[in-house]
Amino acid sequence: MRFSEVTWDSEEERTLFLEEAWELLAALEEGALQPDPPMDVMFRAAHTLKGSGGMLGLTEWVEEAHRVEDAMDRRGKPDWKWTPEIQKLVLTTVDGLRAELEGRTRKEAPTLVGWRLSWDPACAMPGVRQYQAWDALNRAAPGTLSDPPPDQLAEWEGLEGHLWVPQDLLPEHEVQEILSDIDDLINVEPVPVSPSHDASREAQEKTRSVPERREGMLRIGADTLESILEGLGELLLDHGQLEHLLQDRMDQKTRAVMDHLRRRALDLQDATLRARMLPLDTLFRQYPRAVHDIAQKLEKVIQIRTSGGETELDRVVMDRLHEPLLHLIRNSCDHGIETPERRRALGKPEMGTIHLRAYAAQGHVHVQLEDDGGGIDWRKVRRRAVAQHWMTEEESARASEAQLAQLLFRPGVSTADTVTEISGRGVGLDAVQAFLDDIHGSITVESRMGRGTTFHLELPMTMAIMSALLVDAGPWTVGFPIAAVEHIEDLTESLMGTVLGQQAVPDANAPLPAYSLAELLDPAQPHRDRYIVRIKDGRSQAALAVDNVRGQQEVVVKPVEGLGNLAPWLSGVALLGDGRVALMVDARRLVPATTGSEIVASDVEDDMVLRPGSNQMELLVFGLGDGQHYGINVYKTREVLTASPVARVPGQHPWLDGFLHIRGQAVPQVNLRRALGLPEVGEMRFVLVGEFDQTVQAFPVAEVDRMVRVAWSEVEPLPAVLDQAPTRHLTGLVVHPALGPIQLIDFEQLLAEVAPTAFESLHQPGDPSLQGLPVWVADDSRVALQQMTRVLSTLGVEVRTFANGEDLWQAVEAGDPLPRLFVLDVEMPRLDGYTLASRIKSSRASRHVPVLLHTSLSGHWHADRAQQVKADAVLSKFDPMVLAETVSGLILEHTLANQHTSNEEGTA
Amino acid sequence: MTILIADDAAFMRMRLRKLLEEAGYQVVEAANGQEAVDQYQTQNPAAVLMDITMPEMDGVTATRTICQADPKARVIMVSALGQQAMIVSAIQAGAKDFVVKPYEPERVLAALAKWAGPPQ
Repeated sequence: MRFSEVTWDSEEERTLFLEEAWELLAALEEGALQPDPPMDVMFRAAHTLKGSGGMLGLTEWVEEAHRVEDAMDRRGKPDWKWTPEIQKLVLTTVDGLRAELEGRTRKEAPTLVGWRLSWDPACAMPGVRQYQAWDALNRAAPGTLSDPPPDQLAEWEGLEGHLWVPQDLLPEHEVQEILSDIDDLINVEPVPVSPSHDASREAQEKTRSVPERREGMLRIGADTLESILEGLGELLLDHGQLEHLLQDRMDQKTRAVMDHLRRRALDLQDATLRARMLPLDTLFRQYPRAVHDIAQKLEKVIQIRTSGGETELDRVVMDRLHEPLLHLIRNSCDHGIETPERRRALGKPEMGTIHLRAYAAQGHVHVQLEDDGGGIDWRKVRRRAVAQHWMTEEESARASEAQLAQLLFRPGVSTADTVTEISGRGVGLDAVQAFLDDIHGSITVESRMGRGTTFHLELPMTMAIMSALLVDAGPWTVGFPIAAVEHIEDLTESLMGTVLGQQAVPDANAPLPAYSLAELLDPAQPHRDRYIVRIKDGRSQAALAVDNVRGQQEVVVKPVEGLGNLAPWLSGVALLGDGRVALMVDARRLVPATTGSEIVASDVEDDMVLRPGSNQMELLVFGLGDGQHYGINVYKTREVLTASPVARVPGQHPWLDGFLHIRGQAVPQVNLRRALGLPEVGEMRFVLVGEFDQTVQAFPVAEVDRMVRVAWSEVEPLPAVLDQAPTRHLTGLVVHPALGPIQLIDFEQLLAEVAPTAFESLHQPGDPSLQGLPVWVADDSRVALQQMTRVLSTLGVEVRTFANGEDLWQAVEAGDPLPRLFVLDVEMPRLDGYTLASRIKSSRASRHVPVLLHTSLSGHWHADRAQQVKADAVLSKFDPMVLAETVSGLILEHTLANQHTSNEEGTA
Repeated sequence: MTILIADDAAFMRMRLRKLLEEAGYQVVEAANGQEAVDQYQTQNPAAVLMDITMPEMDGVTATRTICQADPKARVIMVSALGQQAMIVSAIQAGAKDFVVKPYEPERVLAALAKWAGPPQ
C-alpha cells in the first residue's frame, strides 16, 4: 500500500505519524552528512520508520527502511565501515520516503516539552547530575535540550536546571520514569516556557539532531497570527479615532488611559510580529544536504558552515529567500570552489568551504555567503562587458570592481554560455536582484581573485510593518517608506530650477528631476507645494514636491485591488490613527514612472543648475535597444516625440530613415543604429529631435532614460588608438554613479557624414601682418582640428593644436609663450570650452589674449554664456569664410589694443 | 560480591576496604589506573570505586578503557570537591555515578547498592 491510500482512524493519528516520520528522516539525513555519523541514532531511526510503516501496511516503505536498517545492522563490528555507498543508500532512501509523504503535508518541527529539575542543595556536583539527566533522556529522545547546555555543565553549580524533550519521541510519563533514577533530584515538574536561545542553539550544535526550534508550546496557524495583527491594527485605528474625537476635551486622566491603551496595543503588535519571526536556522538547515548533493555531482569536496542561524526573520521574507539563496550557493559550488586537484595545486585545502552567516543590525537582517574559491575573474568580466558592448575596451579597463560587479546583476546574462565566460557569477543574479528589489533589500558582492567571493544580502526584518513618512499632496495623504526618504527641505530653500522645461533640484551628481506629487496623482486637484522630499531607494531617486509634511508613523500596509488604476507606483494603503487612509508609495516603481516623460526644450534662462564655467553639462540619457546608455548634451536637443512614420526620398543616404514631419517642417531622421553599426533589433518608440550646427535632425531612440549632470572633467576622451580611425562616432565616455557608462555620440561627425557641406575654398591670402603669429586651437574632434588648421594656415598663422581643453591649459600653466589667439571648442572632455575660456580670462598672464569659442550648439543663450565667461567672439557653425574673417579680425584688433595699453603703461 | 577499589593512597584503600568488608563485600585493590584495568579484567568485579588522580593512568582514562571493553561495567568515581569537570568526562567515558571525598560511609554504600546490588 502507498501512503496516500492509508485510511486513518483520526487526523491526530495521521499528524503523529507524519511528524514522527519527518523527524526520523531528518535525523537520518543529518546523521549521514556528518563526518562521524551517529550510527545508533540512525539505525534506530530506520528501525522506527520501518516499524511505523509496517503498522500502516506500507509495504514499499517498509522495504526501503529495512534496507537501511540492514546496511547498518553490523555497525560497531571491526570489519564494518561507514562507506560512501551506505551514505548514498541512506540519502536516497530518505529522499524516497520523503517523496512518499510529499505533497500531503509540510514539515513540522517536534514539540518540545520542558521540565524544571530541582537539585538537592547538598549535592556536591549538580552539574554532573544535570548532565546525567540530560544524557539519560537524550539517549531515549535524541534532540533533548538542556539549559545550561551539556558542554557547560562541568562548571555549573546551580540548583535548578531545565530540560526540553521532544514530545513525539518520549511521552511524559517515561521522562519521569527515567528521571526517577537520577540521584539528588528533589523535584521534577513540567514548565510552560520555551528554551532560551542560547540553550537551544548550543544544544542544537552539540546534538546535531534537533530539528527546528519551536517558539513556545502552542502551535498557532500563520493565519491566526495574521488576524491578531489585523485586529491590533484596528484597535490602534480606534484609538486614533477616539483621540481625534475627544481632542481638546480630554482631561489628564483620560489622556493617561489613552496613552496606555496605545502603548499596550503597540507592544502587542510588536510581540505578535515577533511571533511570526523564525530563526534562520530553519532555512540554513536545508543547505548542507543541497551542498552535499551538488558537490557530489560536481566531484568536488565542499562543506558548508553556518553561523548566526538564531537570527530571526519574518517567515514571509524567509519563505521567499530560500530560492535566491540556494541559487547563490549553487553558484559558489559550481563556479566558485575549484576542483580538489586544482585546490591542491594552489596549496588550498582540498575541501572547499562555504560560510553562511547571519546577523541582525540596524533593523535589517544581514546574510553573508562567503566561499574560499577562485573568486571572480574581473578580467573575464571586463572582456565580457566589451563583448556585450556594455563598455568599450578602455572603459572596461578603467572600470572599478564595484562598477563591474554591478554588471553581474544585469538581466539577460543568464545563459549557460555566459556562466562559464564570467566565472558563472552572472547566472540568474538578476533574479536574485529582482527578489531583493521586491522586498526592499539589497545585494553587494566582493571578490578577491584566488581567495573567494562574498555576497552580502541585506533584508528587512519584517514586511508587515513599515515606518513611513506621511505627507499631504493635494487632497491625499501619502506615505513613503522612511528608509527611502533622503532629505526634506523647504521648497524656497531647495534652489529648484528648470532644465529644459523639466523642474529639477540640484543634487550631488546630477540635477534631480522634481515632480509635484499631487499632479502625478491627478493634475486637476488643487495643491500648494511647499516642501521637497528627496527619495532615494536603491538606484532610483527623485525629488517630490508636497503640500505638507506630517511626520513619521508606523503603519501596516495593506494591498488594495484596483489601486494601480490611480497610479501603478502605489504599493497599498495604510490606515491612520485619525481615520484617514494613506496611499503608500513604492519608491522604486515611482521613479521610473516619472522619467522618460516627454521632455520639451524651452526656455533655459532660469537654469540654476548649470552655469557656464562650471565645467559641467547636462546629458539626456537614452537607449538604442542594445542595453547601453548613450548621451547627448541636452542643449543640442529640442524635444522628444513619440515615433511616427517618415517619408522616404529616392537616393537618400543609407543612414537616413527618411524625413519626419514636425509641425510642417521636414526634418531628416538619422538612424543612429545604422550609423554606429548596432544591431537593428527592437522597437524605437521615441524620436529625439536635435538642434545643432544650425540645423534640425531627428534620431529614433528606444527609450529616454533621464537627464544627468556630469562634469566634463569626468568625461574621458576616446583612446588614441581609436582616434586614428578615419571616422569615429563617439566623442567620449562618462561613468555615471547610478547608470554606469554613458557613451557620448559625436553627432556633428555623423551629421557631417550624412550631409557633407561643400565649402568654398579660400583663395585670398591673409593679412601679411598675421604671418607666423601663433594661434592655439583646442578641439576634441580630429576632423574639426584638421578643418581649422587648413583654414587658419591659409591666413599664414602658426597653428598649434590640442586634443582637449586640459592639454591646452597645461601648456598655459607651464609658461609656454602665449599665442595671439585661442580658438576653443565648447564641448570637450576633461575641461570644456566655457570653463577654459573663463580660466584664461581670469589669469593675469593670459587674460589679454582673445578667445574665440565655436560650437555646434545653437541658440541665443549660447552667446549669453560665452559673454559670461568673457569670450571675445562666438561662432556657432563651421564656415571657413566666417572663421577666417573672425580670426584675422580678433588678432589685429587685439594687437592694436595691446600696443595701446603697453604704450600707456610705458608713459605712466 | 567483589568490589574493586582503585586509589593510589594506601590509607584510602584501607579505610574503604574496612567499610566494604564490614558491609559484606569482597574487595580487590589497585594502586593506579593501569592496575585497575588489569584487575578488572581478571577479577570481573561487580563494581569499581575509582579515584581520579592516580599515577601511571588516571581514573578517567582507566574508566574509559574499562567501559569500552565492557559497556556494562559499573564504575563509580570517588573524587574530591572541585573536580566536577573530571566527573563529567568520566560520566561521558561511561562511569555510572560518583561520591565525593571525604565521603560519608552511607553514601558509598548507597551508591554500591544502587549499581551493584547489596552484598549477598
